[in-house]
Amino acid sequence: MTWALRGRTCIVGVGETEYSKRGQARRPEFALACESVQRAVEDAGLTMRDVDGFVTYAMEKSEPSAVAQALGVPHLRFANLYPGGGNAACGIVHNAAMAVYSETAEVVVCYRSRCQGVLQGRSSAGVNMGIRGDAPVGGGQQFAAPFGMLAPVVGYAMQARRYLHEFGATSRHFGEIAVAAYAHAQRNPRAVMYGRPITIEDHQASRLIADPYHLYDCCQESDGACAVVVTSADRAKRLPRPPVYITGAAQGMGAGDGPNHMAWPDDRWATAGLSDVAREVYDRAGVGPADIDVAQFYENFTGQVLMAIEDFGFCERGGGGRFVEEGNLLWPDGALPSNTSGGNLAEANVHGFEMVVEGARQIRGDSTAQVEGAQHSLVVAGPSASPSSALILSKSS
Amino acid sequence: MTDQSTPLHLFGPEIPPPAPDEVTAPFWAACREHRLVVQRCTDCGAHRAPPSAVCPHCGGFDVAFDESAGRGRVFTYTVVYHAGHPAVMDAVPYAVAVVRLDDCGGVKLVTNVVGCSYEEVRVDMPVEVVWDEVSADLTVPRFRPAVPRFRPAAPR
Repeated sequence: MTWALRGRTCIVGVGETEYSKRGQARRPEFALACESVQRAVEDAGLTMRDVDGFVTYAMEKSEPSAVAQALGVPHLRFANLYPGGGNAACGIVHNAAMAVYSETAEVVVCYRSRCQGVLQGRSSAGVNMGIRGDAPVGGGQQFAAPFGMLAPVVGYAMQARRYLHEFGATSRHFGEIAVAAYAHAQRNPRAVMYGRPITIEDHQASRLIADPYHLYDCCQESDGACAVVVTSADRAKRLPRPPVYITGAAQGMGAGDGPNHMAWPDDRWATAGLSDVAREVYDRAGVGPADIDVAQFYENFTGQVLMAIEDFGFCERGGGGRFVEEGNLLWPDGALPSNTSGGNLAEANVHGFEMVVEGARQIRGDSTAQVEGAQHSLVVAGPSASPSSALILSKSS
Repeated sequence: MTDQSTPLHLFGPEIPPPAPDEVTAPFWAACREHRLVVQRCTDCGAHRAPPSAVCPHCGGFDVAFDESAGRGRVFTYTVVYHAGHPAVMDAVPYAVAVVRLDDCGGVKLVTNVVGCSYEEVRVDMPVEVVWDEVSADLTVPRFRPAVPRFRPAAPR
């Protein structure tokens, strides 16, 4: 039976602010959020009077009702926060699509804004983990922080180490992911790393952050905001942009997964925890890995991308190293051009939502590394962070 | 010659201490007595770590704490080089590890491997608990390479 939501809703507009390194934004975070929403709505050929829903991540400080009020939305019908951080990037579009399909709202804007400079503090100093200087930490962090696990990279590096141990891959394989992202960013003037290509030797020579991760394995810390507009497929046909059909969406996690990594089954460690989401998003869209023309894999860290590529069936378990080594991620000739705007590593880290924007651009045909005639565009959010999410965006319903 | 091994007391005074709650307090209280304890569900008998409010296997809320012999193996690890927090400025590089205990259902714990060079840490390395008295109120379990329990007889 065909999934009820397949092809019933579309992304009809996208918007971005200027992207910059952390602390260099010209406007405060809330203003960036509003600016990205305005741009996406304008791009869709709509006005704020048409908008009646907002969805963002639980970590977002610019909450839906505040954004709606600031932008003069006349009637807010749907306001929603998906749990977590980068894992939410696709889930917020999924939630928007459900709201539109259920006739809860007609035009829903999904957005994420981030100023990682003075306003929020640095991810690499543990602010997202609740670390505030030497203040005592409760919850699950009380079993991590006292052991010097004070930044996200420490946990993700231990998963990467386990992957290397089980499958004999190397840091150079992780480096291939960074090199591809930086190569794509050289075509994208929005990218923070535009004009700054790297080689595999640059990756290998970059300083170690948490072994096996080098500097270039880690996502950037950025300032910026971006947004997309979701409405019904019927309404999309009357709007100026080519409709980007949401044909598949999935969210969640498998047995034993969750924020307490110590409770994970052993065989969860060398994966991105996306196997269930992958199976469901393919089933719902009615496609498989061979049908995907272009992909965006959220990179918190490069090893998690390698594991996500395996979870989504683009190669066998443990074969990710060889897959990336063969140049498969590189536009235009690779089998699976991936992270075609530069992604979190080299465009900007807007908590992965910029990758949803890029996934939509690939179907509209206006990416700076456009895959010719792309029919199905996969976007994967938050490898190894739960509840994860994914989208398949398509040229037709 | 300098001693290359990571010291037991490896972090500065700014290291964030735990804020125990009613579920986790028995674990930290046992640590102060140099006892490594693991929560056991008294309904179904499953061990779990770190301490949590409800058993994921049977849904039970009642627990007991079993004392571990404190021996296990490194399941995975990382060596942290980047000092993003003042407490670790003088500690880098240091090894953070996940250790799987030999007893108590083979539960896993986040810890540090000390008493050897960070370069010697390996997956599957046998380790044993050692106690870091961080302050009057806080003792933390770290692990060091295990001393073999039975040494081969010395050649005659």
